[in-house]
Order: sequence, then C-alpha cells, then structure tokens
Amino acid sequence: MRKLLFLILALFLVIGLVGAGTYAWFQDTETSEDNVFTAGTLVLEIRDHQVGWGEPVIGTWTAENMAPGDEWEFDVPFVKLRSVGSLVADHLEITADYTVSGVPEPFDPDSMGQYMEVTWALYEDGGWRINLLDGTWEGEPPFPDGYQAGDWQIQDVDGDGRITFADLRAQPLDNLPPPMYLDDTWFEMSVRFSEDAGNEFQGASFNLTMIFTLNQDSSQ
Amino acid sequence: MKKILISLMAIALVIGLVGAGTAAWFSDTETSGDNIFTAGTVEISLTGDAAVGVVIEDIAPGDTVSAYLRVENDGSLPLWFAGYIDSISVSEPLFSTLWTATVTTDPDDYYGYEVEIYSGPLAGLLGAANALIDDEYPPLPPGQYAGYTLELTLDGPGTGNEYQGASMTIVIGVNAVQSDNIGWDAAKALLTTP
Repeated sequence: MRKLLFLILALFLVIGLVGAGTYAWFQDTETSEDNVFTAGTLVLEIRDHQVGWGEPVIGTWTAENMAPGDEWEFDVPFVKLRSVGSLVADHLEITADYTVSGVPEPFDPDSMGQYMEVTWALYEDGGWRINLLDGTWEGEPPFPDGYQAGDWQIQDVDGDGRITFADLRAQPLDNLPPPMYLDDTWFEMSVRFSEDAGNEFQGASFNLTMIFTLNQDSSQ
Repeated sequence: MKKILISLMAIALVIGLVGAGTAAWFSDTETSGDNIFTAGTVEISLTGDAAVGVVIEDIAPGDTVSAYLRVENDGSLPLWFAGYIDSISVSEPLFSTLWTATVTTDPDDYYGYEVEIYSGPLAGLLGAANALIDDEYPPLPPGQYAGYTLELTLDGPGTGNEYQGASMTIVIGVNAVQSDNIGWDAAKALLTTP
C-alpha cells in the first residue's frame, strides 16, 4: 500500500514538472513603435490682382451702373491658383454661385443669371491655355484621367443661345488640369449684361461667387 | 463557425473601406466672392403744370393757352425720350379738331436752346407713332432735364356756338429708353411704340 502511494505521488510529480515546463520556456518580446501614418494634404490657394496668396479674395470682378448690352473685358482682373498641399491633385473644377439684391422679392437669381453672359474665359498655365467658351486649347495641357470631351467648355445648358453664369452654375467646368505650386496658373474672364435683359433688372445687384475646387481623385 | 464569422467580418471590413473611400477623397475649395455687378436704371419723372394736370377754363375761340412740361432723368443711365399725346377725350364730337398746337423747347434746360419743334393740328401729336422725335440727338444725362412749352390755340372762326361749354382733356405720354449700346434706330423704334 505504501509503495502504491509513492508511485502515485511520483507520477503526479512528473506530470507537474511537465506542466510547469509547458508554461515556463524562456521568451523575449520587442516592439516596433512609432509607426506613424500621416494623411497628406490637398490645399488650394488663390489670389487675385488685389491681394496676395491666402488672403480673402473678394471683388475681383465688379461693375456698376450696367446697361443692357454693356460689356466688361476685365483686362487686368484675374484669379491665380496654386496647389500647396503635399498630395498631387487629379483635377480642378470651376463653377459659380450668385445672389441677386435690389429687386422686389421673391426673385429667382437664375432669372438674372441667365442674362449675365461670359463672353471670354481662359484657364491657363505657362505652357498651355484653355478657352473655356469653346473647350479648345493651345499648348499641351495635361489631361486628367476622367477628362471627357466638353468638360472644359461652359455649356449652353438652358439652350438660350447665351453662355451665362446660370449655365456655369448648372454644369460646372470639370476635369481641368490642376494647378501646380508654381505661380503661373490663372483664370480670367469678360462679362456682358445681355442686351436682352428687361426692365425687371433695373437697379439689381448680381453678387457672383466664383468657386474653384481641387480634387484628389478622378471619381470626384 | 468561428472561421465563417471571421470571414464575414473581414468582408464587411473591406466593403466598409471601399465605401468610405468612394465618398471621402480629399478636396479643397477656394472662392472669389462678392463680385458685384449692379444694373443701372432708366427712370424719368414729369414735372410742371402739364404734368400735374392743368385746368384752364373759360377759353374763348381764338384764345391760346399754354402749359409747361419738364422731363427729368431720375435714373442712373443716360437716355433718349420722346413725348406725344397719349389720349384726347372731348365732351363734344370733333371739338379736338378745332385745336392747333405748338411745342417749344426750354432755353434753360440741358440742351440750352429755344426752338419750335412742332406746329400743327393737336391730333398730329396723338399716339406714340407721332411722338416728337426726329434725328438722333444727344442723350439726356442722369440728373438733367429737358423742358417744353405746349401752346394750344382754339380756332376762332371755326368754333361755333355748339361748342360753348365744351371741354377737352388730354393725356401726355413720354417714353424713355437707355442710349447706351442700343443704337439710334432701335431706340427710335422703341420710343415710338406705345
């Protein structure tokens, strides 16, 4: 009986040693830390003939006392654009928005927008120039992946025979080459108050905002 | 079962990433705002006794009465204008045919000279098509005025007793149009249209 007890104890001891050995091998751990993933930036800056980079750009193109048929060629005013983020942009979009004041409410801004004609508009860089009225170009502009024919032309969306800010608002210019960091990409335009504008616009103020959007991807 | 769950979670994770990527590419927008284009105005006002309604009574055959009309440019744009008799109403038939009219410009107005620009039957001024307008003339600038004296003469020999107590009311109309961009021919067409 005593021999049997010793045998069982010895067996448990062996089992215990085996179990202890399973959990007690030598080991060591090292870590690779500070693996930092920082998102890039896509930053568009603009300026005009009046202010420098990064300052609010307002009142680039203005006109007072317009009569129907008046045109402003705006030889001096321009907006320059540059990309100052860390990422390379895919393309640029240009559109417009506006409000109208000085007329009895309610007043649909588009009813005046369709008489505010864009008679000349260029988007150009040192090496190329795009005519935004007919979508043609000079030089060798880079074509973003998503470019399709007509993207660089303000379309007569409402079919009234005029190219206006109402058309531009309805269908923005898309897939334009993005500006680079260099200080040589700019946008210019001329504006005419259509000779077909009627008496309802007497004294009206058309407050135009030109909107430039830099996009990272061709799907945007 | 656990493997299936893990696989499903992995698929959901991938779908989630794809969905987030489609909606969240980077972009940046800058605006050039407050580009304000303000339209001017074409607005005239009429002053003088002819504008406020002159009442002349006890007119005898052969008498001449007069009234003064001033056309002021109250708008912000230069304009052309033309005046005419808009309507004539009479208490007795044919009473209006007994009147002759002359129109003379005011030497103190913007144009600065006195000249008779019409002399003839009153009915010759009736309607916008007969507006007093001839060749192209300098537009009336904002803030300026042009003055006119209208003289009406009741025919002496031709006015019989049947017109005693008769009355006539005339309404004067003035059309105005912007002078910028439009061109004289188009402006004249508008000025002579009711």
